[in-house]
Amino acid sequence: MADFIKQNATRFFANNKKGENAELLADLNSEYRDRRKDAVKRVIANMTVGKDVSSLFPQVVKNMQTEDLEMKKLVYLYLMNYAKSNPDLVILAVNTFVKDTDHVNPLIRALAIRTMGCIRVDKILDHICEPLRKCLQDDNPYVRKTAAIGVAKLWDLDQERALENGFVTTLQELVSDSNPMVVANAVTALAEMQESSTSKDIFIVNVAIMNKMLAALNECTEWGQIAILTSLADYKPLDSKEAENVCERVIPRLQHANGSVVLSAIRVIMIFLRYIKNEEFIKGLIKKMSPPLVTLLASAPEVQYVSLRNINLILQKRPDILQNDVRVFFCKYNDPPYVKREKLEIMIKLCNDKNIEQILSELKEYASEVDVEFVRKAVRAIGRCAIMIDEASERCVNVLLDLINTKVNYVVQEAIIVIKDIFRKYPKRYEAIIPTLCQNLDSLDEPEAKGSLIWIIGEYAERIENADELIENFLETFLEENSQVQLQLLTATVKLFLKKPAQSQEIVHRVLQTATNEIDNPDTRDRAYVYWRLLSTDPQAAKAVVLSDKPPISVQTRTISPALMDELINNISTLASVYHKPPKAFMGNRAFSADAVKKAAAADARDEEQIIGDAVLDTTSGAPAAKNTIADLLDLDFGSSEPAYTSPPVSSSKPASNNGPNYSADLFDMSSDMSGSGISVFGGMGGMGGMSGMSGMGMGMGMGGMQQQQQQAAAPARNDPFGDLGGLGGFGQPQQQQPTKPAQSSAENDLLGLF
Amino acid sequence: MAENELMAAYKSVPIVTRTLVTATILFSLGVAFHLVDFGLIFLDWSRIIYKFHIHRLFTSFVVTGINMSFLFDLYFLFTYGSQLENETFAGRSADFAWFVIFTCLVSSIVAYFMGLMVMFQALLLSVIYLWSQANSERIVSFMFGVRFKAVYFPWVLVAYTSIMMGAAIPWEMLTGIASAHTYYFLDSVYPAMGGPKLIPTPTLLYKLLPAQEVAGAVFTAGGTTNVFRTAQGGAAADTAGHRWGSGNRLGYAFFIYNQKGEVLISRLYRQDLKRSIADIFRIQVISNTDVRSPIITLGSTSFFHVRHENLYIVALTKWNANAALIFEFCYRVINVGRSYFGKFDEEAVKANFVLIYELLDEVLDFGYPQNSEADTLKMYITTESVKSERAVMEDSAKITIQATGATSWRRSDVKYRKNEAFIDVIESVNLLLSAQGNVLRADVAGQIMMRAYLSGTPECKFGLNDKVLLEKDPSNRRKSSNAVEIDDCQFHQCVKLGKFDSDRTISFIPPDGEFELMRYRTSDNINLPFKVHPVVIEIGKSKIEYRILVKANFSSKLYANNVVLNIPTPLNTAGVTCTASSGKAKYVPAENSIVWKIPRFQGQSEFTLTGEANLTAMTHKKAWSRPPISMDFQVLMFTSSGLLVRFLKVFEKNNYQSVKWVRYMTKAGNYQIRF
Repeated sequence: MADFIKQNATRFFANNKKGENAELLADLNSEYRDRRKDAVKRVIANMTVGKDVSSLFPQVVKNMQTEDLEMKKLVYLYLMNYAKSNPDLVILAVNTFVKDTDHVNPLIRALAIRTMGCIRVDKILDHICEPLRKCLQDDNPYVRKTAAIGVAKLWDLDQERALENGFVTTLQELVSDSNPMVVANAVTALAEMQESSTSKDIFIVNVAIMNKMLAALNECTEWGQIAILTSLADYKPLDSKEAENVCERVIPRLQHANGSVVLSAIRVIMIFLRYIKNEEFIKGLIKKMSPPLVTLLASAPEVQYVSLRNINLILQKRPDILQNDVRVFFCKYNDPPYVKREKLEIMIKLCNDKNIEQILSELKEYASEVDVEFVRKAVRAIGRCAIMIDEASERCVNVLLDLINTKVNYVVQEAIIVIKDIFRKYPKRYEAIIPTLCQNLDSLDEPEAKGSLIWIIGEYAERIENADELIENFLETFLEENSQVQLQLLTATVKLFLKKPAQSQEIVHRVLQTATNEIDNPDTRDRAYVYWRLLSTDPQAAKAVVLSDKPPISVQTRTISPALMDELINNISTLASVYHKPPKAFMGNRAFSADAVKKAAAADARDEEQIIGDAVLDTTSGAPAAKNTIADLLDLDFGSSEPAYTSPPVSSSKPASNNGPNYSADLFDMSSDMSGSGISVFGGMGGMGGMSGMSGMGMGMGMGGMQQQQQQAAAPARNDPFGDLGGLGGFGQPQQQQPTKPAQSSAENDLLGLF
Repeated sequence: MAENELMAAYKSVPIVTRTLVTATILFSLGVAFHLVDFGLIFLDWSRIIYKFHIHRLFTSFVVTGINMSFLFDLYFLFTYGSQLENETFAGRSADFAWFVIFTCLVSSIVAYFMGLMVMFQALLLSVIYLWSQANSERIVSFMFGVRFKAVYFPWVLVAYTSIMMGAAIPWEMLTGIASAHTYYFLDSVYPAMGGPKLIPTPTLLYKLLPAQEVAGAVFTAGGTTNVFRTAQGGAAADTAGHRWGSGNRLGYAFFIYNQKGEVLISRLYRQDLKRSIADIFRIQVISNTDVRSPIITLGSTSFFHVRHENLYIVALTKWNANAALIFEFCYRVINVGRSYFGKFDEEAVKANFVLIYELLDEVLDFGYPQNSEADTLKMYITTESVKSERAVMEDSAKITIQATGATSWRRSDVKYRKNEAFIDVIESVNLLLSAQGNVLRADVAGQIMMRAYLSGTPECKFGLNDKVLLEKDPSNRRKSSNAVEIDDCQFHQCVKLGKFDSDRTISFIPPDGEFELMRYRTSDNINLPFKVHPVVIEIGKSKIEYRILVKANFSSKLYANNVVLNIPTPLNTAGVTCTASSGKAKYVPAENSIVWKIPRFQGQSEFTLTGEANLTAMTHKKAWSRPPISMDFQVLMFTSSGLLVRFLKVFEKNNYQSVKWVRYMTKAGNYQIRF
């Protein structure tokens, strides 16, 4: 149905543009070859920029029968693009295709079989089998390697047919072909088929196949090497000795100029390390892996980024690697921000008492850079060093004090947050610096920094002479504060009272009264009640509860569970390793092929939403992009309701309107349009809900409410007319962007609790 | 070797044409030199019938007199015969053979009534006639450049021969034309009118001359019409609409955008992607000012992008793809583009989009990278499309084998009069100096470029003063003091990695021309070519004093070129006064820095720059972040790492002498000095 509409639409569209298409039509029918060729080129140009030229289909296809290779390629390109919109006319081209697969010129044979596979119309399936079989047996390796991929294309459309015609067996035979590139492509095709296969074992790597792949490894192109290395990783070695042998054969790949070959080789080695029992050998391997990993940092920034994420992973698995190479991870001034951030992560992972001096001076340098987010991360990193390495804590504190003296607002705030953690870790060691901190009281405006300083004051109330004044100072704006700050103030006041009852009886009384009477936030109000009850019934018990020893905190350098780690090691160099998430978290449906999708109903869409939703929220630490995802997706949705968006059927069938409910209908429409992202819109909302709950909003928010909030988030950015809608919902509290939390979140969680 | 080439050329002629041409030469020469008795060959029906000289049916067609026209005739037979067999019959030799047999039979029967004896002209004309029908629109030039459509060609030949023979009618030729037309009519025209195919090729021939039955292949002689007829018939019979919904499953696409977000190149490899996916990227990345990652995942779709010049090169995937591979691939596309067009930017892409599509088609199949070596691609994807089709046909078999083979980077038939190899060792020094003058990081990224102009298939061996290698050899142990410890190295794909891993020898068969042989990295014992002592004092809030001292650390016999120092100034600089003891220094407001250029810098000399920057008052009190001083230079015949090329040996089976040249250069990589 949709297609019917679309075809009508295209016809309509074509009428509008009659001038140009008519001209092209005339030229396509010209008797002069040059003119026809020129016309076809123009058609392709129009196609690329998104103009609809499908109405010229018969005329273009007529030009297919030519000895001019360039012209042939152009027509084929057109065919691949428009075959779907003109399935009935594709049959016009079939004859020429079949004939071309018999051409003496192997380039033309390969071209024909390659293009046939790309025309994804089921009518062509009836004609592809014979030529494909012929090409798989062709004398020319170039034709064979193209046909190998052709089998994967056929499989993608119709698994049954590929099996019936014995293509799978032929492909398996091609793995022992004499030509390395044919082997590589056969392996590629089989691997893809295996992944999307529903039942059969298409491609099981056994000893024989492994040996053939290893033999071809030395000779094929870089991409072929990656294909082979990827499949090699699936092999389960029988014993330690065999695993060693495979590693020996793979090690030379580490010297390859192509970074992705190196990473693929590292994946194989990392996987096989599990099977190797020979400790000496393992040590040797790890030693050999370090230099290539460092070399990867000289590649293009994007490749560096992928490499750094993987190094991060490998370091968590094998902390002994790269131990002496921390300097190479120092950031260059002009590194892109994503590379800097990852380098910083790795610097912290490599930090030990020998190199701490270097790292600290480096971090201090970063703290004076321009990029605010990076500066914050650098400051946090200093804190993490202090918590990780006992001996270095004093130096870290000194560096932090230096930073506080720069008086740069965000640096100071970040430093105070970090110092709070240091106080937690080393109680009573650095009390001397408290006055310095208190001098910066006025410059604090972020809730987390404020909360941190208040916590410090409360904790060390007995040593700070004017603690009551400081608290009083904060209390002036008690009602306007963020709930996080309110909670801290509440606790700090109670602590102060328990430590210095004489001075602060009046304060504590006032605070509890305000909190219970004037604050609607249940968290703050209830905590105030709890304190009040405690203090009024049994001050001793209150002391025991409020002033008890805190559980120790530590920095986790290993943020990944062992099971996930194993899965990620299996996926080194892939997207999963970049996100540090299992593939299913962002890939959605595991059913790959068109065939499978056709067969599988969207039964488990619910679960999927859940998974993807989690993923989008969680990737904030790993993938910076994900943080913007929510707003981005909305952005995208606005786009879809604009007429300029080039999917006319969607926008014309559902006129865009400016009120809530219809808007959500549009969202749903979007999700059917590109289901993946549509789903994560809702996942993202779940995440938002969670966040707002944390910052004091009730959790019982309805879907509609969330949506409005989403609108609000997106509106200012785009200056949209319904930006004001967000305010109506009663969630007008501006949502402050929380800085991404590093691994020490355990400490903060404690802070949010009662103590 | 020459013999082999001849044989190969001979073999490349399709089989039926080959047989006919060979037989004609053998018999005609045999008769001319009286080796074969003409009496046994010519067409004589009485002897065929009574003496059963059945061979005469064949031999009479392949014998002709040796004279001027013999060569022409042979040439015609060869050219049009092979074109027919290759193109019109698309390599189905059996069908072509059947055509020859059929026309010969018809001609022989006609000859019986006409009393003709030598039928070579009939065979020739029947081949030419059929060819002229198949390529009726082609322009043929004949004799003195007279040009006409191919369809008239046989008649022109007849007229010409007739004149040459003195106004006699060349009956043999007319017989040939008639028999060929009979074949043409029965094989194509009559079936096209709806009749059955009366003269199918005997299956025996298919068995003898292996070719496969092709479903639906129709003889093209009648132009495109009959192809369309069958096609439309098929289309009418099939009423099922297409089943593919817009299900969104897995995808892989490749786009090139310009800076405005317009799609310049778009290639979707999986069917379930909509073109509108391209717009999503535009909205998400190009119009987004704050993009903090080269990878963006929206739902299950991940976008990978690389920026180059004013282009975005974007790959899209829906599976857990190999991220490193995708980025490497994007850069490879840029490289191929640069190699083809000199520059890969919006202009180049727009001007060459057809070629880019062609290249992409070759480089990426179904989303899998294939061959991305620009040199290999250039063998068969050429910029001038007018290249003779003939040549393409002959080469393509060779090219394709080469493109997929083990040494895909080199052709075997390279020849140079003078065999030379040039080696350039180019080192980039990276330095990060702390404000206190400590070296935070110093390493050298080296590159060994080679230009090989060597004939044949040379095996090269290459030696460096590599510490690991030198220490292996006990006789060298003493000398190894000046050896270099290489941290890591990477090689061009031609280098045998297995060999390097086992005994650290670098051996390879080089590609022809320029290529990057290896890259290496070392951080041990680095000679920093320049020392910089910056003194930068902020005086109050309105003034900064600079005093920069640069000293060249290399031998005084050498000198550096194009030395440039970029000395940052705060954003609120109003003006700078500075003087340099050598070269030119001036304040460039656009870069927020003082640029100090010293065109020639002798070794061991030192220069200073003194200056003063005046600042305007700033409202916010954020401190100046003091970005590092960066430096650029080139020093010839000097390597920071101390690396030396010890030897380059070339082994080739012809054992020629080759001349080798080595140059060294050190340039600045990331040479940064904090202050």
